[in-house]
Amino acid sequence: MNEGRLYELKRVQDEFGVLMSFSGPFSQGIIEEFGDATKAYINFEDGNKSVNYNIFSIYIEQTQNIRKYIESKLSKPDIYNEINRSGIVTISKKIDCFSICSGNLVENSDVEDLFNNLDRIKGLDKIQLKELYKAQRKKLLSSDAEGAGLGLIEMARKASREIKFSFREQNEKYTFFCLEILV
Amino acid sequence: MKNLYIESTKSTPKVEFLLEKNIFKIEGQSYPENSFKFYQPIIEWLETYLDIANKKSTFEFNFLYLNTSSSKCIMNIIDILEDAHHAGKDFVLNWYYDEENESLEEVAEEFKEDIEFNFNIIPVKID
Repeated sequence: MNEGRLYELKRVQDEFGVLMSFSGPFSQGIIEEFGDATKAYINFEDGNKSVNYNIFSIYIEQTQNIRKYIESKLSKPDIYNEINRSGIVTISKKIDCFSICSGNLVENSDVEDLFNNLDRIKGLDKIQLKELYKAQRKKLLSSDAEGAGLGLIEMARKASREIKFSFREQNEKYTFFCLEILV
Repeated sequence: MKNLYIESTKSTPKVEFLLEKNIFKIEGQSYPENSFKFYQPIIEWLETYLDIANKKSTFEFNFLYLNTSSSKCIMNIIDILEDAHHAGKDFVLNWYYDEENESLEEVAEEFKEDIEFNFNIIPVKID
């Protein structure tokens, strides 16, 4: 990064109403500290406790999903490192809503399942989402492995508009996945 | 059985299970990295306690935030309480929430759906 490009980056962020952004490895510690900072900033900006709760909730679900995905690659160190470095999250204020947006590399072999999951959720209404959420939550787990599925459903429930996502293939190994939730 | 006491952290709630008072509290934030790992000992303690419980117990929950993984673990606890109710155990669950936060009220209401045991949802004023 050089100072000229950094200025450009900041300008683009300002143009899109970015309040907070973090790019780098997401540890639980970072998620917590950045989460606290985000909470403090948003509470200062806007008084609606319920909306602020939802923003924080979506931020936690997105970042913890990325974290879980990274951890699932522990047995493959090169891939683990590559994905660990790739994460980014932004919280932005639009004219009439907030946007919580995150991105990370995924292995190409994981794209299909992720896409199918999101595509299915995208098409459901609030009542169907609630039913799906309750059914998923009841499933007794022996580990935290399936956590990511419930998070996506919860985010879709809280979203005030249709969830947006994209997949950009980078090379024969990885695709960059982005998710945006408006609330 | 011994009391269970777990100090709160930034992302995990305070747990205070006092046998001498028959009051069992969980309060604070809940978004640990691994909810299963955090809640497993709590669930085990509750299962053991409910097996031998012979007096009225009071459960008090006050969550400031629950991530979806924690929500799964709490659902597990709610199911255990429902089973205990059907087994004839005497207890009440008081779930407190910030009266200005409708989202937190909804969280409690959703846990209460389909439940038969004594489950009170109580708004509180938080400064």
